[in-house]
Amino acid sequence: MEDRGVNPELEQELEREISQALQGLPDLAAPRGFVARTMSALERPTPWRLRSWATWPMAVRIAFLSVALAGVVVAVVEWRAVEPGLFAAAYHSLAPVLSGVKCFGNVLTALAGAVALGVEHLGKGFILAAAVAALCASAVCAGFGTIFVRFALARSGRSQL
Amino acid sequence: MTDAKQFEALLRDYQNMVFSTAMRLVANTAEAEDISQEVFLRAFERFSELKDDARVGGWLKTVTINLSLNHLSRYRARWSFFSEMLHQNAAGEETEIEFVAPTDVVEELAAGDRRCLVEQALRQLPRTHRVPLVLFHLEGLKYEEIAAKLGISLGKVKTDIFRARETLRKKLGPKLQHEWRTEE
Repeated sequence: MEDRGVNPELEQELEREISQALQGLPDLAAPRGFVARTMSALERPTPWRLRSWATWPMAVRIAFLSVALAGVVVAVVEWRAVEPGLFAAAYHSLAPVLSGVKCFGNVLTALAGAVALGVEHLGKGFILAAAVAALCASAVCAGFGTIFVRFALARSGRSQL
Repeated sequence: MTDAKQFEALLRDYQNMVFSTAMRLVANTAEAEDISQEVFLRAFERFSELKDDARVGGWLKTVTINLSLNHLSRYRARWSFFSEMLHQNAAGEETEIEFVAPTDVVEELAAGDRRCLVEQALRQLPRTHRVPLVLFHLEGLKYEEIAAKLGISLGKVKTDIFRARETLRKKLGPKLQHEWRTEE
C-alpha cells in the first residue's frame, strides 16, 4: 500500500467509512426452515455407508474384509492358472519378501511353542493369576487413557471457547 | 426443558448470527447454510458443555469462521475454476464483478435498501479481498490474526483489505457515504 504512495490520512478515512458501513449491518436472516432441517438432521443418524470405515458396524466390516480378501485370493489363483510362467517369475522376484514373512511365521510358531511349554510347566493357577493381572493392568491403562483423552478434549474445548 | 428443546432454543437464538458469519465469508447461500448446519451439529455434540456457558456465542462464531475458511480452502481450486476464472484480468489477477453503480437512485434508498446494497457489494467482492475485509471489519480480527488464519503474509492482508475498501467505496458511491454520515 505504501508503495502506491497512499496518503495515510486518506487511508484512515477510508477505513472509518467502511467500518461505519459494515458495522451497521444487522445479521442476515437464516433461510426459512433452517431450524427444522437442522433438528431433523440431528435426529437422523448418518447411514453407516456414508461414515468412515472405522465406524461401520463390526459385521459389515468383517464381511467387507472377507469379500476383499476372497477377491484377492481368487485373483491370485486365476492369475496362477492363466499365466503360470508370469506368476512363477513374479513369485521368484517376491521370494526375498516371502522368505521374510516365512521367517516371521517361524518366530511366531516358536513363541507359541514356548507359551505352550510354559503353560504345561507353570500350572493353571499361575496362568490364571497372570491373566487376571494382565486384565487389571489393561483396565488401568484404559482408565488412564480415558481420563487423559477427556482432559485433553476439555482443554481443547476451553481454548476454542 | 429437555436437551432437545434447549438446543432448539439455542439454534433459534444464534441461527442468524451463524448464518450471517458464514454467508459473508463464503458468499453463497447454500454453502453458508451447509456450514451453519455443520456448526450446530458440532454444537449439539458438545451441548452438555456449552448449554451453561455464557461464551457459547463466541464458540459458535469461532467454529463458523473456521469451518467457512476450511470450506473456502478445501474447495478453492474447484471454486476458482468454475466461478472466479471468469473474473480474472489479463494479468491473472482477480478483479471485482461489475454491477450498476447506484448513484442515480441512492437518495431514495431506505436504510434497509442501503444495507442490502452493502451486502450485495460485499458478496460481489473477489474472495481474496472479501474474506480478510470481513474478518477485519465484521469479526474484529487483527491483521496479524487474519494473516495467520489465512496463511498469507501481513503485507498481503493489508493490501487485500485496502483494495477491498477501495472497491467498496467505488461501488457504494460518495452519496451513499454521505447518507451514512448524516444518519449518525
